Amino acid sequence: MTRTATSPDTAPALATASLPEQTPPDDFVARRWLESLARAGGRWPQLAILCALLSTFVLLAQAWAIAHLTQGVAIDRVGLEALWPAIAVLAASLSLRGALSGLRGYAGTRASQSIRRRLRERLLERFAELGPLWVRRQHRASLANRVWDQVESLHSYYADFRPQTRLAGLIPLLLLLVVFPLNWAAGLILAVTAPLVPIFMILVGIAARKRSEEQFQEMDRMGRHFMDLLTGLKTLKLFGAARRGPQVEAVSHAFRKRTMRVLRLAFLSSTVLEFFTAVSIALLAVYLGFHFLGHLQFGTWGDSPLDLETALFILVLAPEFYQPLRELGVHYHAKAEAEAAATDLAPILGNSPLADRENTEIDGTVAATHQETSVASSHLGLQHLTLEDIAVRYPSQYPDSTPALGPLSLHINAGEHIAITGASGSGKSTLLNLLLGFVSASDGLLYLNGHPLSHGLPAGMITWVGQDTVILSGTLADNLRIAHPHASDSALEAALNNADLLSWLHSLPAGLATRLGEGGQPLSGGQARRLSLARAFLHDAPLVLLDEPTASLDAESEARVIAALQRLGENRTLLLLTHRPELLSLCQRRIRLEEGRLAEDCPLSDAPTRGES
Amino acid sequence: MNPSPDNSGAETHADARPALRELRPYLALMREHRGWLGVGALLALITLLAATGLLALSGWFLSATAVAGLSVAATQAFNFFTPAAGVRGLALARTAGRYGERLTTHEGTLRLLASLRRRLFEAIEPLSPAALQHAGQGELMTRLGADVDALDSLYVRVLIPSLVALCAVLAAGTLIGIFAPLLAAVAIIGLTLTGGLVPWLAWWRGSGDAMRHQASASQLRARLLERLHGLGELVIYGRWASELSGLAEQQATRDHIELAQARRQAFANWLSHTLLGLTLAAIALLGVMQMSPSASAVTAGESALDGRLLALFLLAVLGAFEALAPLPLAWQGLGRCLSAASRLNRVQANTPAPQFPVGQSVQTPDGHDLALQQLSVRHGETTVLDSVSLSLASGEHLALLGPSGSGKSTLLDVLSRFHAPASGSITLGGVPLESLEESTLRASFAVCPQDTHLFCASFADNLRLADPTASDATLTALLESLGLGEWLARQPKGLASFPDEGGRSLSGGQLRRFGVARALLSPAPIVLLDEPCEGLDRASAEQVMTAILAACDGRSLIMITHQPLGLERFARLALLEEGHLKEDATPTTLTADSRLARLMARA
Repeated sequence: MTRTATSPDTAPALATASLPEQTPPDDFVARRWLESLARAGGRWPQLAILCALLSTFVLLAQAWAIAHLTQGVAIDRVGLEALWPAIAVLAASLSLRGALSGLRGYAGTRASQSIRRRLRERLLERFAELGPLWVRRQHRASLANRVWDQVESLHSYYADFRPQTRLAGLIPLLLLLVVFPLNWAAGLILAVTAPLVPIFMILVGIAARKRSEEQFQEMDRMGRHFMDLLTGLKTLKLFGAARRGPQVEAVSHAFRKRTMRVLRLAFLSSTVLEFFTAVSIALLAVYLGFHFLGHLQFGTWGDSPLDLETALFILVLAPEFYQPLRELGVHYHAKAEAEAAATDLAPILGNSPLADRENTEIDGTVAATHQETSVASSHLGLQHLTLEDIAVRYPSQYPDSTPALGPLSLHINAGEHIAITGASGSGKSTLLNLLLGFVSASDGLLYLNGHPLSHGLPAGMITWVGQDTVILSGTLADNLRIAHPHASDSALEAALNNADLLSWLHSLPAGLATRLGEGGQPLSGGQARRLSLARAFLHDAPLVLLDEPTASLDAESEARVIAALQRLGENRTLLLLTHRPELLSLCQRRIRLEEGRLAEDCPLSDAPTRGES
Repeated sequence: MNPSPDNSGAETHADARPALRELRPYLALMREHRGWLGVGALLALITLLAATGLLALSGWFLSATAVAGLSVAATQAFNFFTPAAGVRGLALARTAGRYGERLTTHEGTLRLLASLRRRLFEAIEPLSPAALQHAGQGELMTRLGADVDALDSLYVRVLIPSLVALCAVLAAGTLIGIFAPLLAAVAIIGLTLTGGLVPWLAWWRGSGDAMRHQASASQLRARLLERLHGLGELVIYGRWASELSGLAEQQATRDHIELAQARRQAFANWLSHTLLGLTLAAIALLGVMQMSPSASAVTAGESALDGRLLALFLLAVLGAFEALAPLPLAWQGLGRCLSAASRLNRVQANTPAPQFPVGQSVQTPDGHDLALQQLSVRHGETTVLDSVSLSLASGEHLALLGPSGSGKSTLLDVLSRFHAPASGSITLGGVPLESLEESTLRASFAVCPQDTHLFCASFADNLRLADPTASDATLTALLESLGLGEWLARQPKGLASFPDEGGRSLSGGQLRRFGVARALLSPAPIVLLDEPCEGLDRASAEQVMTAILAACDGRSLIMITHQPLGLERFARLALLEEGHLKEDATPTTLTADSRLARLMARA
């Protein structure tokens, strides 16, 4: 990915418009949001839960086998001929549990995968709805981070944590139902300790939570510090300030100390579980043993005496009773991560993340509604464009504040070449964004050939050549066909010719198939700018907006761009945001903006007649 | 825009499985922290012994009491105090051991990670930044960061759990071995097979997928970043919807790999449970044969195994398996650690690092005259600078003009020794650049490259990188002279404010000027500036130029530019085109037909 110019002077103006502010949702809202997303998982989550429940039934067979074998050799004193079925059951039940646990994992992945895919689609659709203006205000990396990393971080939540929350309730209940009829005292020991576990976990969890948030921040800070030094290595060396190894280690150690402070508390919650598991096994063993010795007589139903098989069966099940809770603890971090992601993503998608696509207007930033259009739509033609008392305010502005643009009235005839000048912040970029439909007018109307437009010009009517040329990694042809997907190779060559890139094309061994972008053929600033122009030629819209098309180019490149602009302007209307005298000479009319208002609108006397070059 | 071509390279790459020896330097790092890790492993062993012991002793206790309960005499003779106390003690030992084990292994691991980061940083630091950031590797730094994280998981997820699993197998073996060496052997073999073979299979079969998955994910992420960047154009040209389907298609490929991994994981799960089942069955079979009355009859009761122990054996093996269960998944991810390690090793091995002289060979420059003789520089096959000769007397100001891509920035990289010339020489004060100590070299040049990096530190600290002794007043005055006074006034805490991520609180032109300020602040006798006025309007450019010339009074200055602005204020002018030095003159000696003269006239 390359962008070949720096510092669009549109940036400060855009920076004033802020994110659609919403109060960050609390945990409850985040959980509900995550729950509403779960629908996209289809039947897979149920399958995952079913597998785990079936596995519990198989566990009963496994426990029976162990108990039966022990009873056989220790009490009944029988041989292999009587015990081989139990041995076979033991092997088979473990194998079956393995298969079920494998299937459960697979189902979890399927569920999580469809949820992640659906959410990602929605986010990308939503970005287009929010428009390029909104996207440009975001940190580029943080958007990709949201769509990619944050969505990815939901995996463990849907694959492991969410099914486990169901199982943590179901499996212990199931085991209680099995143990109680066998021995009510043993059942009671389990039933009494079980509710204590979540209570203790919650108590410890509350204390650990705040600290674990700090730990996340610390980790983030440590990672950023390392990356910061790595990316700034060149600067450090230039100023003879490298040798930061010890500093890197010191920061990591500071991180370690703070992390350990968190972990000392966080591990307590899992220790509580360990403790209850261990204590209840010990209690069960002691109770059952004393029962055998006749010291404790209660616990059995009726007169049937407790045998070793039953006692061992209960003992083997005891740790499994707490196992689902322990697993829930293992996946607990997934919950924290998912809630953090939800808190971040919910304001973008709204509270019903899977709602069907709708064009929503967020605080004045208009949803971009440009659809895939054929270039043929330009036959609609442009005769004249009128702005009537247009005013634009950015979302961060108060309704009664001075608008970023306007009130402004303007009439533009087809074929005119107009230079728009004004200091930075005078409203030039806002005018451009208005025409492109990236921002809507808060007052006034925009007319195309006398018909009012709701937001911006229709796609196919308008092209934009900015200071930055977006080069996508792909072939040169791919990069041109952005503007016209079905253009023939000869049309591409014609456009390159018009943009004065034909000789460059011929110098490329792979021609139109040359790869551009990251790792591909590098482009100079002038070449990139002319590539933008070639796209404009291909798109063939009657109105072309240009934002300082020769900024940061050397004289020779500038001359070539200007020559190409002359060709581009031959049968099109051009609006040029510029200060350069060389570009002013292309125009017949100059509009100067000052604080969003029209300061000057005059013909340029020395303008050459059109077609002259 | 079709994803296929950029996939192919990565895929062939991913198929080459990096050898395990790539991990050697990182394994060696563990030795440094063997204290903490050793205690952690010991506690893990104790915990596992306690956990399996608890279950096993409970099982034995039940069996023993049940047998004793059969006769009244045995009931009364039965010493239940010792086993009952043992059960309680083990329950406590298990709880405390687990807590201690987790704390110590985490402490050890975090210490390990601190050493790892330092080691990696020190390995990367001497490498030439120009070579690291060479064309097409813009994301290299990000990738290096991700690789360091991947190596974290080597310790946290692979090595430490494997160590604990090993302890578990030994614990179970020891426990059983006290009573029945043969069964202990079976248990150890079975558990080793489960804990060794299955994770190994998961790694062997899955590492290709793990690397493909990672490669595909990072491609997808890069593509996403790029398309989001181009959202404006793509929406204007009505291409966003088709971009989305392109992204969805590429994601489907990645999802396939993810599912293949999930299937493999499911298989590994089944296989390890089945092996466990077979191990338990074998122990039960041998146990029953040795414990059955017929066996005791044959061996006259002496060597026959006590039947009450069977539960202990089975439960001990089940307990040890708990430590083995997470290994296949961890080892499946080993592919990612390996490719991260091999990439880091490759970067270290293949990136040139400039060698600076030590001891005898160090020379001290005499004055600050700079001379380039017949300097040629290549980037791979392309010659960037071709036999350039240029000299600059101490205190002279030179403006170096040339169109984009004429090799001007490369010249700065060569002067900073980030890039080695193919031939020719550079001398500073009569001494070859290669004979200068790094500190002398860095103290001689104040460089402002095209891209200004702002560190996550206050603006003042960012500036003081160049001169730690500069006062706040000096900094403020310098920034004001470069037209950044208004910007500074808007910062909430003035010079003490922090830049946000990537220096976004400054526009491109402001960031450039900030970089210029940093270079001008350096007391170095030679100032090298790369396009200091880029992205500035004319008035600001004039102001910046005035500030530069004022600050460089008495110092040498090479200013690289493509804008013929304010050139009459330079003593020397030079024109660089396609790697050749075309003109080298003073404003007064320019002839009317010179390109420089025409360029100046245009300004």
